[in-house]
Amino acid sequence: MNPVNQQKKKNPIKDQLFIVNKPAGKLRLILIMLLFLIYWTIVAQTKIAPLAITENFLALIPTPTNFTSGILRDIILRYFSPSTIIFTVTPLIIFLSVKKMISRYLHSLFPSTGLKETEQYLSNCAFSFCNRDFHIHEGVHIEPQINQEHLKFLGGPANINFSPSSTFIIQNINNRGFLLISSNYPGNTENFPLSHGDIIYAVIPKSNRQMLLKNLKIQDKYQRTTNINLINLLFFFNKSQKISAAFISRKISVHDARFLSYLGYASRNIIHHFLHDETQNFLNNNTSMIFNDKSIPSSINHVHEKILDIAPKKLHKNYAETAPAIIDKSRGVNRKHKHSRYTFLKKISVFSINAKDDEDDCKHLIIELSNHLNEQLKSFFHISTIHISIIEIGKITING
Amino acid sequence: MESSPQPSKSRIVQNYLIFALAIILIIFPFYILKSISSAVLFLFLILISVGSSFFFWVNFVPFFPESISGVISTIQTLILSIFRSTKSIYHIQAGKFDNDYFVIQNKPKLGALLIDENSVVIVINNGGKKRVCSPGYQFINTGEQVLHTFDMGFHHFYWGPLETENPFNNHIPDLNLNQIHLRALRVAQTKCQTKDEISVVPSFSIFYDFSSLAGKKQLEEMSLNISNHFFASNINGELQIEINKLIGERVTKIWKVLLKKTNVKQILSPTDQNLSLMNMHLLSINTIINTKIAGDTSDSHILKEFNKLGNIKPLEQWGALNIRVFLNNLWIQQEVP
Repeated sequence: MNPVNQQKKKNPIKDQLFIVNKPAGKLRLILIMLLFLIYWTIVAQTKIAPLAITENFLALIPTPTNFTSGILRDIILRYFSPSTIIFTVTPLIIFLSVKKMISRYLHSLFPSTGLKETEQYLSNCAFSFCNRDFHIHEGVHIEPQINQEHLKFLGGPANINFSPSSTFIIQNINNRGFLLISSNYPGNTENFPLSHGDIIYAVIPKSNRQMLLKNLKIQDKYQRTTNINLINLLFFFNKSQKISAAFISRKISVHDARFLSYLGYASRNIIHHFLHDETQNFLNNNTSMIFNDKSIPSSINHVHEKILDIAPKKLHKNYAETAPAIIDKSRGVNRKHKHSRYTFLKKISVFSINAKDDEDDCKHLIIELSNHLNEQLKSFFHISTIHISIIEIGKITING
Repeated sequence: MESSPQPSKSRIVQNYLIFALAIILIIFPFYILKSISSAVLFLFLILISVGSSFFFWVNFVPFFPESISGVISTIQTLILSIFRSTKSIYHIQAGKFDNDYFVIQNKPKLGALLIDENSVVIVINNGGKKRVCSPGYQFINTGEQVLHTFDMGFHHFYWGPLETENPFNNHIPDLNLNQIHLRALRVAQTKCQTKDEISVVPSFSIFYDFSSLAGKKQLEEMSLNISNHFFASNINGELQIEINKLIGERVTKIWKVLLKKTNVKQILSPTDQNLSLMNMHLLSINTIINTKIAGDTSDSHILKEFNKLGNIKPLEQWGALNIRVFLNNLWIQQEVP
């Protein structure tokens, strides 16, 4: 059973009458057709509503010559007389008109959902006319299609075929709970039955769970600038709460759902900016991890005080773009580098932190940065099931 | 400027069709029915058909209310929407109307609102009483109008000059008057002076959201509080830009107080091997701006700063608001003496 359907309902009789699934839809269709036939028969047999034109209609039909033609004439007179037709067809037309009206109403509410889609949606809910299949692939968020818009606003019933790399969040409209759905078997395209009352809240392709932080610049107290070319981050989820045959579904909080939905859309920039700023902040406060201060001679401890006494210079992380006014006044400071005895301070070195020699430092940096980012994400976004891990740190350039 | 929405062509065609159907199905049979009892019966049949058809179809739209009174209200709204020339149901996503409701001078009568998960809508009635509409399908009572909308999701904005926009560089080619004016406005947002009267312009990157772990009731109270604050200043409509502005102004206010006790030399010199004065100021800003009424601030130094500021009204009253401030860049105008 679909976990989304497991919610308890408070109104059992009404819910049983209007439950949306394939057998219930077929049964409803049969019942309505039967009801219609019974109603037609009652109207025909009782002749409860004779019309003024009925007598004229009788004159059009020839008098019977034998038994069979007599029965046929009687059936025609009863079942197809104008009064019977009007009384029978009127409720049917009203029934279909109301459907049309509601589909127009839904269309006006969600103009991105086509009128045809809203009509099909109502027919599918009521009578399970057609089994709708939708495909969710990588990059679907970039070009939203009408079909997917429809799933976003009106929801199921529908079958969703999704690529194993995609993950999506569904929301139940009534209890407003969220479920995160992902494939259990990488490599297979999975089929997920989206229930009535569930909408697609967000689709998060795997590529969107990855985030690249580029061109991070930091400066330490010795004026050395470090450029970190790239930090590659990946969002992952806690172990699943419930595993079915084909897909994994996890209950997630509104904060987690909101955070993940931001990863899948244009608002992704907010999270990117946040992580960028937090990483920058962390690196500025932990420059020793990158510069490995052991390599600096102990004499520097006496020297740097002198340097600072000569002329104060920008030290804060954000001074990389300091105003010309600062640059002008700092000419003397720049000059001192030309004849500096401390050549190790200004040499340019490029290295990859993944090299064997720096493996321990790299691990340490990755662990510390991951912990910091997870902590900050948790404190600001209140996420609980989502974590971040660093999968790659690119080249680091130190410019002395 | 006054404007009014025009009914679309399809809507006019739909109204004609409904009118024709009403004549054929409802009025015409009465002329050809033989007796009054038949006419009454036919009328009864129509009423039953309309009622049961609406009841049947409405139940398949999941966001419509499930209670009987809700179904009746939905049917009423649906029927009224047919005969109204203007749209009466609006969809609110990310704190924004799906049309220019706030721009229209003669506001259309609202039937219902479909509000998404992150949006908050505050409506006001003729008597001036406000109420908060929670996410979902909400009916608007007679005499009520939408006063404010805003988004409770994550937001990010820059306060002050852009990260690479040096405010003291006045010789930038290819800037038109409008761009120059905007640049000046951005600089004015954060420009302040140090203790030794040197102009300093920071650029802040500010993140905020209302997703603190607060209950529904607290969120409603806070929403009303936000609405009351802006209503008192005669600000109505979509509040996002106003909230951004308010937060930015409070950040500048705290920054100014902190900087009044700081010399430029102090800014440029490290007070600690790992933590510069700027980082300490940033920490203070983040702590003060997130301090709430009845909240606990363990840092006595920061509490002292906070007390000096008086109150950071009204942010301290918005319990669910969570702000994070980063310093993007800092420009100093004059030479250090």
